[in-house]
Amino acid sequence: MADIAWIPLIFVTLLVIATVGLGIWVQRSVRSTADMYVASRAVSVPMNSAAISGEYLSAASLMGIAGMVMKFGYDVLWYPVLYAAGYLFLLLFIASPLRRFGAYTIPDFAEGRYSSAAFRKIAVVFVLTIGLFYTMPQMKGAGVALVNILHTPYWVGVVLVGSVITFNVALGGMKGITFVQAFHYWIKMFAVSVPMFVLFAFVGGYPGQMAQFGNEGEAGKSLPRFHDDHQITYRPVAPANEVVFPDAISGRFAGGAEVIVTTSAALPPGSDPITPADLVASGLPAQTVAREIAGQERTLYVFPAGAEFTTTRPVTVTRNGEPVIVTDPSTRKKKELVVAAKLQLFPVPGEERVVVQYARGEVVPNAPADKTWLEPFGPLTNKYGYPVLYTYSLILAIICGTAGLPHILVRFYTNPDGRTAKRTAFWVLILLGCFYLFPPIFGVMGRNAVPQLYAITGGAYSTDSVILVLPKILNQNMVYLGDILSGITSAGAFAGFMTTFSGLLVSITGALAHDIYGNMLNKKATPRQRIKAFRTAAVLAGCGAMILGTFVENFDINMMVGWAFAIAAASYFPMLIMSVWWRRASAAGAAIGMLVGGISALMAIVSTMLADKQVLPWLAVWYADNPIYRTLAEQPAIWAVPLALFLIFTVSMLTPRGVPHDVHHKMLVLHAPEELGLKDEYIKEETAPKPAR
Amino acid sequence: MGDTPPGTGPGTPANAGGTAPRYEVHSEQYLHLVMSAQLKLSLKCFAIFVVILVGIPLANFYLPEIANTRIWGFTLSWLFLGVLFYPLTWIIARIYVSRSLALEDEIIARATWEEGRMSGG
Repeated sequence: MADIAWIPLIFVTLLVIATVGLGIWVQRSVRSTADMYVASRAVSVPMNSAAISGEYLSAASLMGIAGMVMKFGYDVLWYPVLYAAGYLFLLLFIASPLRRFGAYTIPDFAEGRYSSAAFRKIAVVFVLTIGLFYTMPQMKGAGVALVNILHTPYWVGVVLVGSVITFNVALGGMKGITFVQAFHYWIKMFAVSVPMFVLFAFVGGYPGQMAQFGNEGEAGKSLPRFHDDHQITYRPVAPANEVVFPDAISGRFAGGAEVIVTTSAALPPGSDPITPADLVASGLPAQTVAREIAGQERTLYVFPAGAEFTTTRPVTVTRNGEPVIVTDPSTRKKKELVVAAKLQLFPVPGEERVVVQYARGEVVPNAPADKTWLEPFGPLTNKYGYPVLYTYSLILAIICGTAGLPHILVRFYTNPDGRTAKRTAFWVLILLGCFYLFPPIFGVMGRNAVPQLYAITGGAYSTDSVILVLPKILNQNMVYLGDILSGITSAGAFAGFMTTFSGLLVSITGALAHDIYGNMLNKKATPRQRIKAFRTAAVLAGCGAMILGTFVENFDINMMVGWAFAIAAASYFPMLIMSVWWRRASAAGAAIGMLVGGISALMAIVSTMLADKQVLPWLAVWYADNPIYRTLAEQPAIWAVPLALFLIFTVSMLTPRGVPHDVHHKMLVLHAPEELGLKDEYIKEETAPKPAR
Repeated sequence: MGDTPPGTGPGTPANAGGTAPRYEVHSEQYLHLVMSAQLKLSLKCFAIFVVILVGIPLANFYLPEIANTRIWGFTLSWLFLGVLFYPLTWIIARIYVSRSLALEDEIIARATWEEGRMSGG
């Protein structure tokens, strides 16, 4: 693994060259601002459906879902299912009205629908916020993937993806990106399906893989084991250095380590203490050192280089000598509370990392047991003991979030009319469904074939890299076969970062160039100036995204995507659905609902982060004591979406004057077919954005 | 067009040929027709999904024996969510798009214009 992976490098290089080449080729036909913003609204259904799907299938869809299915099991299947169902929701309620309204950007829609310039400004802020939250994980994914392929520093991947796409967007705008995105969809579909079919041929099909997991009796308790001797390198950054040992597992600290030994879960108050000596069967070293970690004084056990250790099997928690009985929230059966050993690893002075060697046949740390993994309400949704609530909130967040992501919505403006918008959305569902079948299979097969990825949480060699690592197992069947397939999946992953980033960049650039420059700073800009503004904004936004991207190496990809979805679900989605279907929505109502919904969802999520990172230790304690609030803060959609809808309704009822006087006509434009000739472009190319009537 | 669109205009309702009444484009009745017909169709299609999305977690929670029955290597709930769900979205989307486009044709056919200009229908 030390040297460069040449074969994946070749595939990624070819992809980058093709992407840049396509951008230059399309650029020759870009002439107007309409080309730049909405590809002249003349994108055909096959091209547009592939482009929308291409843009939608981000790093999170490809690497994230595969990795999370491997890590958490069944519950993660909700993600691809809801990404697809969210699209259906978009088709049923929003796609064609939005297109018929004939705006360039969502802020255009906000201003046009309510005849309110102030609303545009609020909407712009949300486009930029959601765009940036969604950009960061793409950047991080690119950096991490390149670490895997080239062993370059993290920032190289960020700059590579960032500059290629910034170049494409600046040259061709939406039109250039449409071709690239459609091309990338097919790259991704190829990358996710072909290696999988080859894997099927060698190691058995999907049902066969699934049949290897047990969910009854003792078979349900089985844990994955290392297939070979493995050496795992832990970086001293939480959570990557926190390792939970679900069974008696032996390992060897190659270069020594300083270790905090705790239980895997906090003990309920009043229980008998469980000491570190109860958790490490092989005994603790005599030497200890006290250090301040995250603001707390902790005792670290110093294991010398070459020291071996064995953890104990999970320990039953007792109170006054009697086992503590708890109710399992997912099965509702009484059981004894057990906790496992958790080691937090820090390097000894003079070392940068902790290296742990595990022998073949040892149980892999961090892995959930078969039954918990295979059945619903596993480690993802059952984290805080309210699995059903967590599941429903997740469902609402993703469905409404999809319908509120500005970079997805803006693509609907590229359809020639509302009818094609509907047909496009139908084909998008087909393309997405075919794709989403595959990432979970990578997760399933990863659990069987490359369980060593469980040993580390987060970072380049965790379960997140399963789609890159899994195909390599075929090298033992045929020379280079595994590397070639891994090269194909790497190219697919790269296409994922590039397309999604390109869509986000168009949406952010549109907000900067069209809404801020064209409609606030310089309303009389000439078409030439507008194109120039678009290109400048693209370069500025691209560079900004690259700089921010280099700071998020230690953030969790899915956490950041979750933020974007939760904010979109609680801000744009309620505003859009009410604006499209409720005539009496007033500007103040829509704006307040959107602002309060979005901000409160954001604050809830940020509060969990502040608690986790120990910035607010009292909050961490409070959340630990009140798991239901913790669940609601981590998945805020279940209360934030109704809150936003309620506010839009109430405030609109209180401010009937804020309902535009020509709302009747506006609703007609939104819903009536174009053939009636009502379409009155609210936002005209070279005129001020005022409705003609 | 004024603040309140006229309820009846020249040529409204025209009722030419068909049995369904025709309305002037800018009339209140016409907007109601356009919006409620489309909303009803959307809600009908979406109701199927509401049932599924609300139902699966409940089934998983209250009927774990059935949800975790093994079929062809999969558990029943995995098979549904991981594989069968997608074709279901296609069927519903197909039904929706064809009905919705037919509905639009009907909506066009039921419109009349103030100027007396009739749609091609």
